[in-house]
Formats: sequence, structure tokens, C-alpha cells
Amino acid sequence: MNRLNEWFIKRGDIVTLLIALVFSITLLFSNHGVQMQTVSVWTLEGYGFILEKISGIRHLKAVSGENEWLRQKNAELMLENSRLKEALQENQRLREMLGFKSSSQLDLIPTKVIGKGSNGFINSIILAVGETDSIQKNMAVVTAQGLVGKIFNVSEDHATAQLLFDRNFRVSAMIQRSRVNGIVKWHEGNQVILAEVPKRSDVQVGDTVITSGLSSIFPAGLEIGAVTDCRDDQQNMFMTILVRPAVDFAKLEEVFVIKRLPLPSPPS
Amino acid sequence: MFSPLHLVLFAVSVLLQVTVAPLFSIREVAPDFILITVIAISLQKGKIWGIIAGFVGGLLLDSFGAGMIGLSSLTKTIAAFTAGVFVGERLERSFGTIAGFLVIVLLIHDAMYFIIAAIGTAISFWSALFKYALPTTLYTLTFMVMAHLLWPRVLWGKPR
Repeated sequence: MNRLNEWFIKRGDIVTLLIALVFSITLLFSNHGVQMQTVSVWTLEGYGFILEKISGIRHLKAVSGENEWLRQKNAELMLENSRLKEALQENQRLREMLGFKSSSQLDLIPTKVIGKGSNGFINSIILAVGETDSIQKNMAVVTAQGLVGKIFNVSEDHATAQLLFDRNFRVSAMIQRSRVNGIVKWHEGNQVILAEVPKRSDVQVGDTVITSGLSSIFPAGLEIGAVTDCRDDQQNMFMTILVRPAVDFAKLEEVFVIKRLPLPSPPS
Repeated sequence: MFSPLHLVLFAVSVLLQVTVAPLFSIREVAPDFILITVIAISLQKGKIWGIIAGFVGGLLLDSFGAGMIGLSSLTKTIAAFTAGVFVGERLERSFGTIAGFLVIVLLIHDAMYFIIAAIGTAISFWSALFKYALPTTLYTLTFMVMAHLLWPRVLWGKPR
């Protein structure tokens, strides 16, 4: 027993290392567990409060209030404009079709970015809104320029949003002009790709990529970016389409969370 | 035991990591302030406290991200231990020798982090190593040396 105690005292560092390693590896393999979500929410709530205070010092309140209102108006107008452009194209295609329903208005919640959790290719932002502002997991996050990401974690007063540049981010998207569908995901650096687009699809450099609305998370017509390169590789089944995001992620200060879209009413 | 100074340093480094570090980010490469603090704790307070600081600091950092919780705590735990093994017992040596060992510690940390994080993405092993891990190591080392020049006792200097 004494020997065991002696060894334990002598090799305490090894024991601590092993315990920490086992915990870390267990956490790594149980990322979506309820306990992990709880730990994240606590951390977010604790540090979010301090981050918000620091952020408050950086922003002059009066100017910030007016700015926020103007930015919200700007974002609403830009999104309206984007939807109108989209509606024009839709009109042309759907003229012959019956039963067309117009898309609902988007309800935007403005918020400040109070921190960034960027670490290589795991990228997120910390927002000064939470459950008390009706924020829920998976709500879309946008700016006037376009799609930013989606809400990943929510505490009472704060939330983290997974960015378009995160390794695990996916969004169903399409080319606005030709209606070619694909999935946008992070590629490398500050570029994303429109994946799973069959060869010889109608895609050109400069085409605008928008959300397709095929998922319940992102409303249709949100701008994602513009095509910077498209290739038909011999080896691949799909085209390689590089997209430069419309949003400047280095200058993210304020964003808008889109409140959950209302569920479509059942056909009468 | 942790001194109040170390606790403050630790809390501040976590705050700096989510507020200031992104401002210094160049092509997704940002300095790791938490790692600098974890290594400092490992050198001054010993491997056990370094491992604890690495685990907790990594877990906090992971909580702000979107997924892969446990990756930073895993790599920072190992970094604290290797810092204690490689550097902790060689503090009498020259600054150049210590800096050389610190590069090894940082590189082990960053290589592990980026290679594991790249699994399942389009990023290749070599790309993760040379485009992300190595620049991050050099960038963090730059801040570490600056910290040492500004405040020589912040990394090591106090006897354990």
C-alpha cells in the first residue's frame, strides 16, 4: 500500500496526464451529448457576460444605437432587394404554374458580435443574444451582404454561431441564374465550394450562389457568394466550383439572426 | 497551488483568445494566448498544474467553437506535459536552448490539433502541417518571445 502511495506521489504527473487524456478523448467522441451542451452553455453564459462588457466599452452607445437601426434597415432593404430579384426570376419560371405561394417576410433580430472562437478551421462567433431574445439553435445568421452561418449553441443571454468557414458547416444552395443545385461547404482559406454539382452543369464564373431553401434552416434566396472558378475534372464525378463568400468575415461586428420561419400551412 | 496571479493570467488569456487573437489573425492563423499561459504555468508551477490548466483552458476554448469539444483540451494537456518534460528540467540553460525546446512543444501541439481537425475535410495531412500548424507555431512563438522580452518572469524565472 505504501509502495502504491509512494508511486502515486512520485508519478502524480503521469496519473494527471492520463486522467486528462481519457477525459479529452471521451469528450471528443461524445460531442453532441447533452452534458457537453450543458458545459458549453455554462461557459458561454459565464464568459459571454464579461465579453459583452468589454464589447460595450468598444462601442459608443449612442452612435451604436443609431447605427444598429440603420444597419437593420439596410439589411432589411438588401434582403428585400435580394428577394425581389429572386422573385423576378421565379415569376418567369412559375408563370405557367398554379398554386404559387409568395415567401413570407423575414423577422430579423439585430445583435453584436462580442467574440470570435476562431481556431484554424473551427470557426464561430459569440453573439449578445440568447434564449431571452427568442434565439433558438439552427436559426440562420446573416448580414446585409449575405449568409454568415447558423446558431450552434444558445444560453440565456448569449449564443454561438457556426460560420460558413467552419469545417462542419453545410448549406443547400444553388446558382441563382441557372438554378443548378448543390451543397456549399468550407474548402480552404477564405473560400467555400459548391459541391455535388454534376458535370457539364450550367455554371459560370461570376454567377451568384444563393441558399436554395431546401432545408428548414435557411430561407431561400440568401446570397452566399460568387463563383470564382469552375472546373470539370476528369477524375471527379462532380464539378469543382469555388465560391468567394459575399460577407467579409474579418469585419463582422453586427449580424442579424433570422427568426425561425413559420411552418407552411397545410393545403386546404 | 495556483497563485491569484496565475488565475488572473489564465482568465485573461481566455478572454484575449476570443477578443484580441482574431484581430491578429492572418489567413486563419492566430496566436494561441491560452497555450502561452498553459506553458508558463507548467514551467512555474510544475507539470500537474500545467496539465490541469491545459485541460481546463482547452475545454473553455472548445466551448466557444462549433464542434470538436475535447480537441483543444487534449492537445493543450499534452503541450503542458511536454513543456514540463522538455523545458521544465532545463531552465538553467541558455535562452536559445529553451526557445528551441519551446518550438518543439508548440509544434507538437499545433501539428496534433490541425492534423486531427483536418480529418474529414479537403485539407491534406501536409497542408495541415505546413499551411496551418507551422505558421501557428511560429506566430505563437513570436508572441511568446515578445511576452518574455516585455516581462521576463512571465514564462519562467520564478523558482518552483
